Amino acid sequence: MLTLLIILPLLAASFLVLLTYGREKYTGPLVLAGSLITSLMILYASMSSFGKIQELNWFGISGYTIHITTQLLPLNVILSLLIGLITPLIMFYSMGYMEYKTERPRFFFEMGIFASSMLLFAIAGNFITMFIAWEMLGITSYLLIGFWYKRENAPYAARKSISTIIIGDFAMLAAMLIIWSSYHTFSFASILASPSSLYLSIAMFMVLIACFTKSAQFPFHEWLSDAMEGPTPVSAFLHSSTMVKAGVFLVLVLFPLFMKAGLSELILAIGIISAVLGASNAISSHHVKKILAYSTIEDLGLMFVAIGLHAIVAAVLFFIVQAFYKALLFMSAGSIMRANNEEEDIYKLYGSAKRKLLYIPTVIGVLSIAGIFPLSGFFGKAAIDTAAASNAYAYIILVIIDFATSAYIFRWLFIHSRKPSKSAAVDYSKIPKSMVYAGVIASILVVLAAFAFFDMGSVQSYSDYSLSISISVIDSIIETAAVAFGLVVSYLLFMKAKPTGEIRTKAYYILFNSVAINAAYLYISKAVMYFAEGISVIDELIYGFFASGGEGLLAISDKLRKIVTGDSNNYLIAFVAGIILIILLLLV
Amino acid sequence: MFPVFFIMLAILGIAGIASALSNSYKQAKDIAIVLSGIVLLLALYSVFLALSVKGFIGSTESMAYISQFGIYLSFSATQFGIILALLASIVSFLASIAVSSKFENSKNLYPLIMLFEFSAIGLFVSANLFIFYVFWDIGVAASYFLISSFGKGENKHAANTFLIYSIFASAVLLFGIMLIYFYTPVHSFDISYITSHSYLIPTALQGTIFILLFIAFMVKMPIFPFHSWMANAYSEAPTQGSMLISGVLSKFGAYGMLLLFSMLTFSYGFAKYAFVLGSVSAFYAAFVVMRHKDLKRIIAYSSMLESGIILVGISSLNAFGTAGAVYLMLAHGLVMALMFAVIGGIEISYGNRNITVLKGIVKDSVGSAYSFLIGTFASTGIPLTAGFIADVLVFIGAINAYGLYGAIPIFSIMLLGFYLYYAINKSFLSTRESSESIARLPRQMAVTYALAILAIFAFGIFPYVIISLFGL
Amino acid sequence: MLAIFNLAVPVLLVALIVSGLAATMHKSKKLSFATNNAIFLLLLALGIYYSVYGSSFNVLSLYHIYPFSSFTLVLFPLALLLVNIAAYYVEDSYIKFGIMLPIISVGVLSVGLASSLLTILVAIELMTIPTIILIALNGKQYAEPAAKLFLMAAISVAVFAFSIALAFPYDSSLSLVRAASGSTGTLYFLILSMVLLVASLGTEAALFPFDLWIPDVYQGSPNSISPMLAGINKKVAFIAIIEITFIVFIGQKASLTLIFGALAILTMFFGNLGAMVQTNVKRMLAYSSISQAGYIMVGLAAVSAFGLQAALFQIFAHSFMIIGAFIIAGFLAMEGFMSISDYSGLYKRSRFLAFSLTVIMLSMAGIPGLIGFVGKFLLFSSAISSGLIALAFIGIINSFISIYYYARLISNIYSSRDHKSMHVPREIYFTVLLVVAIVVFFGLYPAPLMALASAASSSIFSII
Repeated sequence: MLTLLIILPLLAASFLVLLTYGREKYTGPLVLAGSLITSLMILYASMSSFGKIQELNWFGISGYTIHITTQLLPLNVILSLLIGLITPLIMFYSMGYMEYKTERPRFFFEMGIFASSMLLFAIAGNFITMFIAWEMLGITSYLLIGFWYKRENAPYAARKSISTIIIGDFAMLAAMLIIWSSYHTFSFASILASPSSLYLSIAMFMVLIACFTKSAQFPFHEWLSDAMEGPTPVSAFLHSSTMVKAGVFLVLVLFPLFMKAGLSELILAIGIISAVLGASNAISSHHVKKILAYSTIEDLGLMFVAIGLHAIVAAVLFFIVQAFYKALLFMSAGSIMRANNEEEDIYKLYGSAKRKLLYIPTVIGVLSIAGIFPLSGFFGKAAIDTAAASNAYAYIILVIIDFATSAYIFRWLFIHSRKPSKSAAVDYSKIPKSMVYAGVIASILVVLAAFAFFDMGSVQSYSDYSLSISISVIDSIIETAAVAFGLVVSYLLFMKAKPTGEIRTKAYYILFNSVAINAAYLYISKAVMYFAEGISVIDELIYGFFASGGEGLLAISDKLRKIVTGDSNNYLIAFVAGIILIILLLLV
Repeated sequence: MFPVFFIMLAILGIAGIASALSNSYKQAKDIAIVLSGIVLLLALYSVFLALSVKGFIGSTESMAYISQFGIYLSFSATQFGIILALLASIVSFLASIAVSSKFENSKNLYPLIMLFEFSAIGLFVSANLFIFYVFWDIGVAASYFLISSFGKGENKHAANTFLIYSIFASAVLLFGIMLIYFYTPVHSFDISYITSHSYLIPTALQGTIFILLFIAFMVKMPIFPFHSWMANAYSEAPTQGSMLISGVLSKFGAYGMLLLFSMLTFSYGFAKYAFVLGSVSAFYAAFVVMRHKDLKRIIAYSSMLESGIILVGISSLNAFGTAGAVYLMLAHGLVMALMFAVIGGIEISYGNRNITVLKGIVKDSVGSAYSFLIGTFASTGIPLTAGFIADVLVFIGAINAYGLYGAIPIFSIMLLGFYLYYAINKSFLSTRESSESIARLPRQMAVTYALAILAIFAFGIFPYVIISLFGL
Repeated sequence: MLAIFNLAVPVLLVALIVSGLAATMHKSKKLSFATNNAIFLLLLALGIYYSVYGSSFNVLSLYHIYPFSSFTLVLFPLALLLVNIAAYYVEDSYIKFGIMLPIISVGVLSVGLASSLLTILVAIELMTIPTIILIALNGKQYAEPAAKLFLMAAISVAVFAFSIALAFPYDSSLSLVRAASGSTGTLYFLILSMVLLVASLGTEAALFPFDLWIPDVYQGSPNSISPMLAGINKKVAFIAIIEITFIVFIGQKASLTLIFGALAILTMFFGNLGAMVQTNVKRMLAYSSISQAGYIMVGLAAVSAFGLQAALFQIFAHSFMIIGAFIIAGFLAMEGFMSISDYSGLYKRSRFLAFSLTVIMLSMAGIPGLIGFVGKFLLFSSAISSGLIALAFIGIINSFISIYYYARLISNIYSSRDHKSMHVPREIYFTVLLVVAIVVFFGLYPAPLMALASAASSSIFSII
């Protein structure tokens, strides 16, 4: 089967949605149907075309042909299956989320395109195909984050995300063209088989920057928390299987090239920094979705750490499990916010424990992200910890992060499960059914995802590096201890102490450093603007220079006008002078 | 084979005269739409011929003009010329459909649009430099009147600035062409003859000629530092004028540059300076744009940026760079047509085009907002738009020719992207007071947008049609 | 039969004088107008006939018919015809025009036909004096331009006579051809003679610095006379310069190039820079005609058959362009539109005049497809082919400076203002239409005119 065809149903459904303006009740089901068909086709393709690389000619020039290439190697299969599972789920959730809203067609159109782009990304087999998907992801995420453009902060958040991502886009474009110039191919398979070169190192560095922007790693991570301005299903989608995963995925696919380019230390360092920043902001943030967003930054950081430690199978495992629990938690957050009149400050959210069908899946998600055995999160974290055992610094930091993760995620849970005060208007019955059931399904997936650990063998046989994945008992115990400690601390601070969120200590500002990073962004953009100011002064000078040339001519002309007065004496003087001048000219 | 180029030019001549003689605005407009539509079909037909008929590329249609000096009205179908003629006919067709804000809707507009299209198509298919110059000058004259005849006063200044620069360019161009003529062994204006015999011109003289023509084309493209006419001209012209001038007139320079680099052997030594100049121009434009608030000026500088990139492509002197430059001319022409049409539409709706004043366009004027967004995507080279194919080809060419330095100009587009998204943020997304009333967007504008977008995507998704025509 | 036919030119010139004298008797506007026109048309037909057959013979040892003179015999009758028709409407009392114009015409035509220096001298006088009288006859306010023109004409003639005296002391016939044989070598008095000749004729031909009077007089002259001054009298001076220098002083090639080149540069800059800030249309046209004189000098500076061909082409082209422009400007001045700002919205008043003026201005500016472009192209090409690259470059730059003021006028014409439309009389309509036809026809199909100019120029070089 032509692998590219798997995108078709979803894509077609997305465009058909545009016809449903005025008949919005069909919008959601249409996209859901499309995404389900796509999921089935993914399943079929991953069996029938497994391991195949397919090339379609796009255009040819100068004896070379540019292809649209798709491949279904194990990693591609994993990501596309992940997308195939989560897309219908999110669409189902969105049907409830967008109930009674007139923007439904636009929402589902953009979501559909977004999901299709990610799917294209998942099966891309060469740089150009990947880049098409990469850019489509960028612009659709821009549209989705800015979806509520009438809100105060949404346009800003959208611009922040696109401005960050665009850096990566152009780095990626430059990188892939440099690679083409060296190897005259865009195909991943051929490039992976090619020898190393200086150009390759530079290009891979730029690819890495691109991946960092997409996967929200330091110093490009701040857009992700602002992206919470988008609708909640978008956040759930963005943070689980799409968009932010793109960067990590590309690094996984091209892993040997990064090793050849000697970039693994950089990946490790950036991963650790991002994880620490993510965790510290997650502990201190007051925004119910931003806590989860910072948590995503941390998760992605951990994946890069694993890659930096050459433990790519551990990274892949974490890649899979993280998708499920993050989708679940975002769905829960959306439901809780819906019940609290779309309130976003976590200290003003109450009573999630009331609705058991909502609360139990949420707790499962929380336990999983905290890393409690036997939920899927545990396997991911323990595997990374085990891989880090050889690197003492990394290991210590990872354990601290384990603790922090547990602390902030239980904080998150504890605060919004408090009993509502009398004044708060809390109504858990108004949450649409599909939002609740989507959470339930997701929680089942979270539980089942634990089995992924035992099926990692299929990945191993297709990678050259770090072929093993293991979880040592000691590391598991240390991890569990850290998590337990975090739980206790969180319980004492946020359950017992009945916090109000008003305390602002020095420690708070150190932890909540996103302000400082945003300020740094601002300084950089200001510096660029000052530079632009300087250039535009030059621009005006150039304009003035040429304009004064023109004015000079006019001034001469004006002088001439004044000389020619009509006085007959002048005629005679000029006549004689002219004769003398010509004679002089001839004599010289 | 019937003389397709002569027929196109004849139709345009008739269109110009008929619309000049017509009695009303509407009649003039209808004539322009119908006849430029026919010319567009003929242009498509010539592309079809080029793709399907062997020997169409390179075929010449000729008529004596000044036979004493061997000057002929001769038109030759070159692979690049046909594509640019197609561009010119598309943009002119769009310009005929588009409408301006009330003040600028005069029936004089349509004869000028037709005259401009006449000059553009004539220039792109000209087979000798004399004819090239003739059409160049007609194009300059038409553009001058497009700027100067419709406006509220500021436009006179802009038109004069434009004229002074253009005059300068035309002067050096004419001089360069004359020098070529008199210093080729058999005095000739014929481009293909000059291309094959340029090595016979003494090197020093070739350098002079090259610099002269280079300056002339730099002014028209425009390339730093001869760009000062551009922002004023683009922003003061009526919508259709801006579409044509930025979409097509700047291609006069770019196409000339392409001819120049292929014509004189001197270009091999000079190309690296041209590359530097193109890159500097691109970055310069990217920074200058950040200080502007007028949408038309923003797009004007973005157009200057693309011109820099086109020069980068041409200066690569390889198949990729050349093909990319031509593709970028095509893509950029269409994008500029779209962008200026959208800005015209916004001006109709809001009577303003300052991004600090405009707010919430996406709410009241969805078509304009999304079209502008698509234009932004296309000008930042998002895949599936024509701009992407162009960027890929240009920069492959540049990297092949100049190594890693060739990749540097890519980041000028990134800087542009920052600011375009800022502008969108500022005026398209933010909310606005609902009490303000806005004018409805005329249906013609919506059609203009749709056709331009269609073309942008068509050339982005099916690039092989054009690229196989290059024969590179 | 043939002999009689050869005498046709003097016969027609005599007929002109008779027509002029007769007009003093019968005082009939229409009759005088009709006879003048008829004779001009006959002369034109004769000129075309001679040109087509390349006739070459002497008439009464006074005139020499050869391709060069045939060229003038095509150019001037046509130009005079236009001036005459326009004047019929513009002049309040046409009759004095009807009396003077035939006499002027005899002078104009004789210059081109002349075979001796004396003929040229007399012919120029014959042309200038009645012109001055015509100007003066128009009323008190024209006394000043008449006086200025008279002053310059007097000086010019005196210097011209002195120049002849210097160069031709040994030959009583003062024949051009015979004079040429004695003018080789570097004789200082010869060079002085040449300089004085150029200066004297340059006064009328509008060469800087002998042309300071031109703007005043062209602007100040009656509306019927300005076209003639710029389109005919000036061109006659050029024909005289060409005849004398290219036949007599051809031995002094290097000096000629130097003089003509220098004068060309000065004249072009003076004309163009002067025109840029003018606000009165007639004055602007006067400056523009000065700059056109400069371009013609570029062709002469090439001192080659090609250069001369280009110069003759441009003389022909500019003669009609400037006549058309001055007729329009004169007509509008009569209606009260003098300055450039008065012209704004002309498009709404009269589409015909606006369009014609646009075509003529564009042609003067050198926009391709019109006669002015071909002329300039030939001029600058000839300079390059003679190796005068710098001169060609300056010429091109100047030619583009001029676009500035032409375009300023044109864009004013089309600026949108509502005005009621204006009636254009049929005399003006006809003359302007004819000019536009010439400008467009020879712009698109210059070959016949180029052939004519080419024959004329090579005949000059082969005469010795």
